[in-house]
Amino acid sequence: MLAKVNSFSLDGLIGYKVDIEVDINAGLPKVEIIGLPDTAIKESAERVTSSVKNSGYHFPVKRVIVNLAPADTKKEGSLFDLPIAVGILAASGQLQTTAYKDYVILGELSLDGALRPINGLMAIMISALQEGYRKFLIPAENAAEASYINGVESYCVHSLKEACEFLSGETNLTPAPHREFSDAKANDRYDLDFSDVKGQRTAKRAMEIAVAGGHNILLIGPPGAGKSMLAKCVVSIMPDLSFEEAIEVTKVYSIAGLLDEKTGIVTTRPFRTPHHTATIPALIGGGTKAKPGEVSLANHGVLFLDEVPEYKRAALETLRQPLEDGEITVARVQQTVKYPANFMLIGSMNPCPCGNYGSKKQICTCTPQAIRHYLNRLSGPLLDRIDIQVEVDSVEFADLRSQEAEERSESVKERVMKAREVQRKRYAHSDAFTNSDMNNRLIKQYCKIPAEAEAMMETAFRKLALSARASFRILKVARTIADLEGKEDIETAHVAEAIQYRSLDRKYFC
Amino acid sequence: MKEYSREQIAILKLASVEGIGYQHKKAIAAMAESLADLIDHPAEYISELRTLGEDAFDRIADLRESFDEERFLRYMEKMGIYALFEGEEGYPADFSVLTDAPAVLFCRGDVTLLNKERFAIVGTRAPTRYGRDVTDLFAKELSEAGFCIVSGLARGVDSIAHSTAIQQEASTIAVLGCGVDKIYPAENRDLYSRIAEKGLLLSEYFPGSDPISYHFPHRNRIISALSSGVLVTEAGKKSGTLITVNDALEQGKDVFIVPGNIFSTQSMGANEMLHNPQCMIATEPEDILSYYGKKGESREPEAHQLTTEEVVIYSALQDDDKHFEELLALTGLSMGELMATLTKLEVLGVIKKHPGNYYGIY
Repeated sequence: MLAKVNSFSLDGLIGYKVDIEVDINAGLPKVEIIGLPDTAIKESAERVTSSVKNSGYHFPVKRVIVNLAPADTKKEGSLFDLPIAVGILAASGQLQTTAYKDYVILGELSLDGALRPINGLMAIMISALQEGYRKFLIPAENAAEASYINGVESYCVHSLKEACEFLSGETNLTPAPHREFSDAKANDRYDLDFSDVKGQRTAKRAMEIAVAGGHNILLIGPPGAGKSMLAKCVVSIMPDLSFEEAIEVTKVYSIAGLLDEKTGIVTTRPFRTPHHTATIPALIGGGTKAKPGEVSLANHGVLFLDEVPEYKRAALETLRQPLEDGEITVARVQQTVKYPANFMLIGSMNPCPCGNYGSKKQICTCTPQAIRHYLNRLSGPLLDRIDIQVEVDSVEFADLRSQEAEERSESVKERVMKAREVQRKRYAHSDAFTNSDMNNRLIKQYCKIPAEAEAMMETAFRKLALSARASFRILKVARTIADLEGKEDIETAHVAEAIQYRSLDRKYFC
Repeated sequence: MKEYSREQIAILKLASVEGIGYQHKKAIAAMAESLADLIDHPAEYISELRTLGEDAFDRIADLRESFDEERFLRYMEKMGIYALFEGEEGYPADFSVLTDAPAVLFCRGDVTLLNKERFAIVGTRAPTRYGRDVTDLFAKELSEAGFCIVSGLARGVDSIAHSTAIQQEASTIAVLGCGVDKIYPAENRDLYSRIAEKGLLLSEYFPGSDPISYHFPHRNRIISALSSGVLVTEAGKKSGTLITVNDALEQGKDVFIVPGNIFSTQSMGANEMLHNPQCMIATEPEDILSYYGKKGESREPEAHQLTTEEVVIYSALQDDDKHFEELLALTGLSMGELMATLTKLEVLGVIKKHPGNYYGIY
């Protein structure tokens, strides 16, 4: 007898249906899995054999053929264990029902018949829902993840036995209760608050502007100046993750196997800090299975590169596509996968190899050539995508500081949200979302500056030896500063302030 | 193209010989009535040449084979290199103070600068911000007062002195420790070509010579000889600047020292020189200018109509550089206002931003 079970697999973030056909023939006892399975699926034969036996069923002593259709795409992972087991039981007549045909069945089995959670469930369910499948039979540990999707009925089971009893109608299960995103979000919390950073007001202001306008930012400062700390608090002033964004983030996290089982959804903006030895596949995604990389894990959040010049130049250059398009294409021999990669880039670096350049107390021992060499590790095209460059310093001003309480993240966030709202309205009919997305046409349209500011910029370029590519960046940042103040027009003061955020362009960084 | 006499060509040929020291070359020049004869017919002078060592003769004899006169002159012309010979018109008269004046001086650029009044600025290759600021200030004022700034195109103080002079559209002379057609250090490529264009590059070393470590202390004597006086803006202990100062004192030149921070290792050399009664202290460019009977431009900043906030910032910066946070507390302005005002002042050229978020008066 032939059994056909519905299951799903993933190609990047897109799920596609896989029909699992099981047939039992006369012949030497053996399980044959065909349809381009990877090693994990081939080994599934052993897991299924044991778990069927250990769940109190009888494993057919015949030749079992399992076909994964479509047969021409490579399939991977351990999520087919449960559907294969169900198929075998159905084909061998031990599961006397066709109820399984109504469900999409997913799950990994352990030898004793217990079910283990799978990766990438959210992405699969969303694709399946689009194809019209509404009922799912999934491992109990994936319940949380499944419960946020509207319009599905997910039945969660702990073991193969439970699954079979449910399918044959011996027990009744209610679908996992739907959870609201807002409830999950209620207890989300960031570890660091903006008020935990003492002083550093230039840098904090720059951070606020960067977040408000979606600008990438580079922090330059000596070791111990608090660059990493600043970067870590930035997620706490970013607008809250919307449900749609959360789903997108969760999909990637789920595929990467990084999802917290209890919450089942990512509620906070991701903050990723790949080490500077990170390889290109680790950063942008890849490997034989074209897994998502750090840029995709940082989607809708922050990618923080500590000590940027220490990264391999080739690795840094790969960031150019995601920074430009907000997505990354990972091409491998067998598949080409697109992952979202819409992140805010925060870089930090020392001003020179020894770190003391420009310090009042310490002497910098670097030659101008060494400094230039160090700075040259950041290529022009990459720097072009970083609108704000600001100096962070380790100066202590204890007496000045105690006078004022540090501002908390919430109030900064409020201003940021207001500025974002202004931008949302402005760009409603264009493909930009924030000021940093403006193209030349939009800059011309929305960044008109007074003649006085024009003259100042011209002098500034001459006197401060700013590089020509700085001009658009300055205009974009000035636009954001004006938005933060709720001003319709960019004023001279806004442009003047924006000029301060071009540290690296200055001549004293030789 | 300058026409060289047969004797001058012979001097060039002798100068091109490597492995014979300055003293021996001088001895060779003294051996014959005409150096050209000696170079063309070394065999006639073999016994004299042999007294200078085994291979002196061989090296001179090789010249006929190895030195392609026509090609070399063409190269000089192409590169705009110009040879000045001792005793010739245009050869700096100041070199009379030297016991070892170079027989030939290779020049690239504007040779008329050798008629101008010159002043040398030298110092450490790794200046602190203080050293940079001092060098910048003095180079600016001295070149404004009409001095041509002489230095050695090394890293640090030398480069700053040259580039400040160039920025002022004033003249500057760089005395190199390698061939005048070589760029060393490589990072000074831009500066080198600007000096070649607007100023003058000098070297006693044959074109193509590498920057060898012992060239540098040796060329220092030329820096001081070319100048009325030498200014040391910042020098660490054991700095090569000490050699220039000693050369200058031996040559009877004026030496000015800018005192430095007593805690800074980069200032120890300069501060030590202050103990030498022959050295003079310079705490402002005026000290040097008045010594030479010159009147410096008054250092009052250009008259700008400053707003109230700008005046507050300006007066806050008057005693010392201030960090952004200090200014924020002192002026009571908001972040944005302060940033904007600072940029405006900076653009006006009233204040200057330093690395590390410090601001100071320009």
